[in-house]
Amino acid sequence: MDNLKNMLTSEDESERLYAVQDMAESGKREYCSLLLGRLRIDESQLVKDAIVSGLKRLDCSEMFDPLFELFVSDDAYLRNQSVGILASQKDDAIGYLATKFDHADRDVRKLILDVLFEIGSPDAVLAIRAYVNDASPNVKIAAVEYLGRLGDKQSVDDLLSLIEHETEPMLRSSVLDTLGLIGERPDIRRVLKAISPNGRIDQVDALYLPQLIRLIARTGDRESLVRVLASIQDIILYAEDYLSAVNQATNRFPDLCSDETLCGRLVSIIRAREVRTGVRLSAVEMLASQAGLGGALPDILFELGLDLMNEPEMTVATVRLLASSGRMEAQAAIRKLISGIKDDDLRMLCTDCAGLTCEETTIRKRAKRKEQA
Amino acid sequence: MKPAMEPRQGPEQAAGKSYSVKINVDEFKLLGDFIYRKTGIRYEEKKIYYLNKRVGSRMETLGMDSVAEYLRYIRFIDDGSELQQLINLITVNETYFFREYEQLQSFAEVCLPEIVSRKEAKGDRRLRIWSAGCSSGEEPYTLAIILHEMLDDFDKWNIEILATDIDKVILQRAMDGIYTDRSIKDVPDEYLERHFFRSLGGTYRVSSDIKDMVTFEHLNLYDKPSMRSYKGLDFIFCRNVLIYFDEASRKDVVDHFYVALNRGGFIFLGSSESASRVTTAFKIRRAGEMLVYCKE
Repeated sequence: MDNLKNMLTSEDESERLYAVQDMAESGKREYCSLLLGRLRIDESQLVKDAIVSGLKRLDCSEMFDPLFELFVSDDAYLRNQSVGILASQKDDAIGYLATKFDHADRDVRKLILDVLFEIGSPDAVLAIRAYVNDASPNVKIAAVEYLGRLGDKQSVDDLLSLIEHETEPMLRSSVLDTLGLIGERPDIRRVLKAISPNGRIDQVDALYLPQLIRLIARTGDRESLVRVLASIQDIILYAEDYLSAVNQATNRFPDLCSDETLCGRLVSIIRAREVRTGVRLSAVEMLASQAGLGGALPDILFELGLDLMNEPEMTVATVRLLASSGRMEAQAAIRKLISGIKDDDLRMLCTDCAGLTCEETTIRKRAKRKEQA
Repeated sequence: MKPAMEPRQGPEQAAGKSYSVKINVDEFKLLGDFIYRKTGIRYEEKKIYYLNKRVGSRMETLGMDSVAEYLRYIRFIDDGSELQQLINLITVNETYFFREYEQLQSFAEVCLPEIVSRKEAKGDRRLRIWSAGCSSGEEPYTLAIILHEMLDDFDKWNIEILATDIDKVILQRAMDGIYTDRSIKDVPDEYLERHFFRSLGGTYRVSSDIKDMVTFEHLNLYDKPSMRSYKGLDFIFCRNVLIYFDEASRKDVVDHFYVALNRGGFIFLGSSESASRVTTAFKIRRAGEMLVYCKE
């Protein structure tokens, strides 16, 4: 032990590193205090990282007090690393931290939460749940977020109470985000009542719309979903959330895009040049993949394809739309478009896209004819 | 130095015999822990089928009837030779020349010139490179070819490429330096012509000039005393090897690499691997299109 102690104070960085490694490998808890002491003063990032890694492998239960003291260190690295080291001690650390849950400093309480989240055990989740009623909004928000990430469905009632009684917007947003992960359909009514006058979807504060959309997309019934999506006025601002919701919801409601209003909104997103190209392309794909629903959709796809022909960055999307429309005139339009493309890779991509889409369309039409027969 | 490499144009999997064994969960845990203690390589439970085959192969060779017997032997009786045999079977050896070309380009066109000019200014003409986990040798030979092609006054440099691996069988193959079409598919034509001989049987042999630049050694990256003896390297390549280690053992290995590197030296991991998740001691720098890790 003496030899390793001496090596730990060597001027040679590699000697100190080797001492740390050997101490960690020994499994001896007696080394913890030496390592923690060195962590505070060593100038080498290599050695400090190795000490942190080493402490995580050792039983540090006798070092809980000095580790906890690092929560108020001026050094952000020490504060953050002490969280990880305590978390590595699993439920033993929870037992210790339980005596500190009501610490006066909210930043310390937040760090305690971080430890609990990293441990993630059932006991840790119970402790996190208690923080939902903390005095500090920031601590509450962290607790709410962690419960969502840990998938703690049993905390839903607490979260619903929170959104019903709290008015702090960031906190409510956070609760909605978490409910989007763990909430269920019956919870939506309570949520709507809490965030909108008269419980009306079209009167929900715009601040909460993205989270509400996500929640309803994942768990809501078709009618609620269509209503909330149709109620969004500024479709450009919420384009990404809208698409994400429709995408998620079509897993449960494959004919969702047959709704005229929703379909119209997708078309608006596609036409809007101020929307990010990637989002527009996703909207094209979503609409094109719904071509099999028939009705007015093939015509919409064809017209939209023609409209986009003047936008070079939407060339592939244009081909996709025209090809998926299944219209006879689309073939000629596609051929003309492709023949004008100078870039070999782009021309090949468009040809492939047209070919694959036409194949899809043919298969779809055959299936429909068979069905009708 | 030449400004650019030639553009590219286009695993040896350990195979067990089919000997029917079924390692149960407890046996898997014992064996897995043992392998981890000795090599740092961690096998998750979903890889139980993988060990089944390989252990089965060894049991057949040794004439053993039960996994329990094999476990007793390798843990308490074996002098290390059986462990080596098992390691030779369980390590994956998928590689080819000029693998991860863009990264090699960064090495050749940015990092190498930087180190070369720094050393030339000090009158130091020694270059040391380590290919850790070299498998059947494609990587260290690739590095040798790059140095041969990129250094203007190549003959004036004292170049040492150390190539190490835990698998002794694969190391022998590396030393033979004979390869099939699959290994050389990404070698630029010009380099293929200059540095390989094609045999009548259709295999490719690395030229003796290139072979002479590489020294092969058996090394277990988890063997601390051995690792600690490696110092003074300008470049370390350890690509797609650390993925077999768990967090703790990966950290130890990367820390050793840091100590082994000279100041200003570079470490290259696989494109899906990150040194900064393991240690913050390395500095990230841009080298062409790639991000590289440097010991400053």
